[in-house]
Amino acid sequence: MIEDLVRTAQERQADRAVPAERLLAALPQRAAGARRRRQFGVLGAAMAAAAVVVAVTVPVVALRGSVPEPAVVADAPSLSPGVLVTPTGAAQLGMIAIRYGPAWIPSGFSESIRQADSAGPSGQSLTRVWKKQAGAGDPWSGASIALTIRTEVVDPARTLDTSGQKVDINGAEGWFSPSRGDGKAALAWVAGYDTVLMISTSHVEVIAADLLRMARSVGPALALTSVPVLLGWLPDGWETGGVTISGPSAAAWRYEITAGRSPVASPGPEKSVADSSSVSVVVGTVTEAPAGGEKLTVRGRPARHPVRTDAAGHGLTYLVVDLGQGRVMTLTGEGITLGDLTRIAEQAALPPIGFTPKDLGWLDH
Amino acid sequence: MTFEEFVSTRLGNLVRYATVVTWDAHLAEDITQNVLVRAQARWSRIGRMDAPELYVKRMVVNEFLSWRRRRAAQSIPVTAETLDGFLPATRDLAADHDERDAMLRLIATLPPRQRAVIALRFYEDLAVEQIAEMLGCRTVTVRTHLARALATLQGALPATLVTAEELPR
Repeated sequence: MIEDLVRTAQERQADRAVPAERLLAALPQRAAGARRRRQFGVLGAAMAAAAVVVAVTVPVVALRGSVPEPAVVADAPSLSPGVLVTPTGAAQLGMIAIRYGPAWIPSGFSESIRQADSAGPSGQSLTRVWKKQAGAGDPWSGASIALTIRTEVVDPARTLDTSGQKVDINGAEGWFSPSRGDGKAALAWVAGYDTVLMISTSHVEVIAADLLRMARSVGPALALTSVPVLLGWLPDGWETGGVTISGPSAAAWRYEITAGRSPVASPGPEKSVADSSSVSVVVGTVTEAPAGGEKLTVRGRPARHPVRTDAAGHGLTYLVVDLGQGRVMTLTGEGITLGDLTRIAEQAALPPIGFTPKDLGWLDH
Repeated sequence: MTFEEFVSTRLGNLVRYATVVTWDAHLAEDITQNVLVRAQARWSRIGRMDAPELYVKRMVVNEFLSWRRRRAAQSIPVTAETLDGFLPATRDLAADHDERDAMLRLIATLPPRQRAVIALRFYEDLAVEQIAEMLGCRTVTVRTHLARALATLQGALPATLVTAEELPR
């Protein structure tokens, strides 16, 4: 019967689905991208509904027992105007444990981004991204090769998509999904009892042999990366989300931290907008906020509160603080008042102006 | 069911479903990701539903049809004569394989809404009434899409593949 032919064809088509593993690994980045597009209006209203924050606990502050909490201040006004919260030493910075890294990468690429998320569905995740070019602003566009390290994965072998080509990664069974002309290839394997590694490409064609070579060069890495900015205060029910460090050089580091209302803490009425409440805090050398805005003073520094009037910018609140010496802190909030945004800015723990953590040297490569 | 539980247990099925609905693995990837990002933001509501997976699948098909509306130019009407060009004139030694390939190519030429309907009917095994509810249309509309899709496929397939009793009633 023709229905049977249709069903058979549909099953074959379903087998062409991209690996769920690849989709899952890209999800935090997609969520962040959706939020950025919402904030900056790149795609305008079409993406307006997609603003979301991966509202989960930051997984990566290693050495948790030995690292003091961020400079939590009970009330914002208690900070001395004009004085940044200054860690007294490197020990007060949060740290990201790198865990794994490649000994070889295709020529022309250098590490430009480290992003940590608590992916939730499949444990914690850290993504290291190698690019050909890195700028001072939003780091995600352009060709890249990423190594995603997912830890605390329950039954990791079961999470692998096995529809691709079976390959050997130093004795481990890996699965390779080649690019189909779209610059997206993926290679995933289990690296430990609770760890899944995946190398994926975006917007670049890398030959399979090079991806395999890179994968086979991956080994344990004991390095740590500093988190130079920490949030000292968030509204009730909010949690810190993803952490991204990038930049064209160590001295020009860009740090972004996102936070949002915890899904668990959401009140959950049918038409609640609480779930989309989020904030992005970026400290870098440039801002992507709109120009102008009401002049304010935050942390004793000049600040401004630009307002978007276009449809895509409706509901977004911006606060830009000039930290001095070319450093700018940009807060973009949704579902949050300017007062709360200001309080987050006032109580964020920042390093001294001009401070460059020694372990950001990877940005200079 | 939490969002994390949903994703960890249902993502594979969801992306396969999206691939059948869209008939394009990479579009399915994009649409699934977009839908999951939106679904996560609303999960406090979706997670309390009796059938959250059905709701997310509805989001996928609606996203696909919206996407198609935004890019209507990509829907190219194709005549049966044109479709003949996709098919071998006679069966060859690899006939069975070719027949399956022919069906794959033919389904790709169906209008998006017809393709979505046959995905829901034959891949998801949903009843016509359920499909109508999912697409927000009348059951007669679903039956029309279904009949037209099958007639198109049947008319374009080599006669050796379709017997007389299979003609749509």
